[in-house]
Amino acid sequence: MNSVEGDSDLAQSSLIAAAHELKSPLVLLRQLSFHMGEADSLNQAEIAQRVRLTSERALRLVDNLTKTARLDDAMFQLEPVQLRGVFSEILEEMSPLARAMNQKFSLKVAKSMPAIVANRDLLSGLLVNLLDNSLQYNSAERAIEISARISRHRTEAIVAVRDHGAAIDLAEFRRLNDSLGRQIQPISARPLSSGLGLFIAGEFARAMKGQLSVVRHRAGGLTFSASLPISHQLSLLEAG
Amino acid sequence: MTDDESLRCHSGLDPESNQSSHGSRNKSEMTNREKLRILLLEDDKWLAESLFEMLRDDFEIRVVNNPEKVFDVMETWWPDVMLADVVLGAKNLFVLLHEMQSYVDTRVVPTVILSSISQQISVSDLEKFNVRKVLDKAKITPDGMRQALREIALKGEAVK
Repeated sequence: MNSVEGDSDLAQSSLIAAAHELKSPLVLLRQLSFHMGEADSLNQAEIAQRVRLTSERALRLVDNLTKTARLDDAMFQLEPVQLRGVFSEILEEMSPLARAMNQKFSLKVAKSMPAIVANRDLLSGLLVNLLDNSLQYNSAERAIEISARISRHRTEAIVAVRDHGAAIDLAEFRRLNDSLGRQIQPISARPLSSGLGLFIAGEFARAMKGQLSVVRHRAGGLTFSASLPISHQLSLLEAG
Repeated sequence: MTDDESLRCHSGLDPESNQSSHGSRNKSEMTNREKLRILLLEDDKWLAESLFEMLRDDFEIRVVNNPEKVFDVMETWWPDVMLADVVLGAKNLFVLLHEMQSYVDTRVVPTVILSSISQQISVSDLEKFNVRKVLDKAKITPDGMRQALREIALKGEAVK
């Protein structure tokens, strides 16, 4: 297959995956609309909240898809970004959805975490995709773990999101690992997603000169992490 | 909130009393009950909760979010129809339906598929699994769903 055919296939599978991903929230919105004005045990405030959170989720997907299509336009400048500030914004954005789904986040950032070289919008999009993915599958008994640490060679920051969802089998994990961030790869044990969110996260990581990877935990669950370059420029400024 | 235990709507009958009816269910038993029984298999919790609310006045409903729990429910509570999504994780609906066909009692439970990929599913291909109808999640109305479930439940035993 030549590269043009490959691009065309990827565009087509992206389109199908996007349609699939958008259909789920739309189906849910339509279903929730049947309760509006009805006197059943789903109270109106609860329905309104679910409608809002479901719409916001769909809008985030559309927003990220738009960004994915414009990654080559050089409009996403890379600059020093402090991870704590981005985490704080993302947690504020995602917490209402997490609460509504009886889920919790825990955050662990290395004390001496330097700034990284990234684009704030893409980094936010990447994290939102990973968190959104984890919210669908994490077991509610345990918090979704968000962490940031410095790599062994101190050249990269590793930003990770760990869920405690059902275990996936080894063969499927290998398929996922081989195609992560490059192809849209659904996971049969995680049927609510077409794999589009992880594909977008991989695209965003690559646009920031980083890489997306995944670890499978024997006890269940997956950790998705993005390695992103540390900003030495800012470290020098901070040291001075 | 929408776990298997919380989404139960009892009609006033003792669920245990139905234990002996495995494999010998009949129409008079159904019509003697206050409500027809629907086992809803749906892994999207908000959607499951919404469907439960929509159907609870007309049917006695139990909800499971995992195909593996279907057999647990049927140990003590026998549904007239199973209403199920297709894409349900590692064990999709067809794996479950195949397993249900291996037992004399569970093979007679008629299934209605409720899916957002209904265009890709043919009832005739699935008759061997006792699938009676495929409903489109994106198009079905509350009344349409109630009517379809009632019709299928009252039509009787398995497709031969």
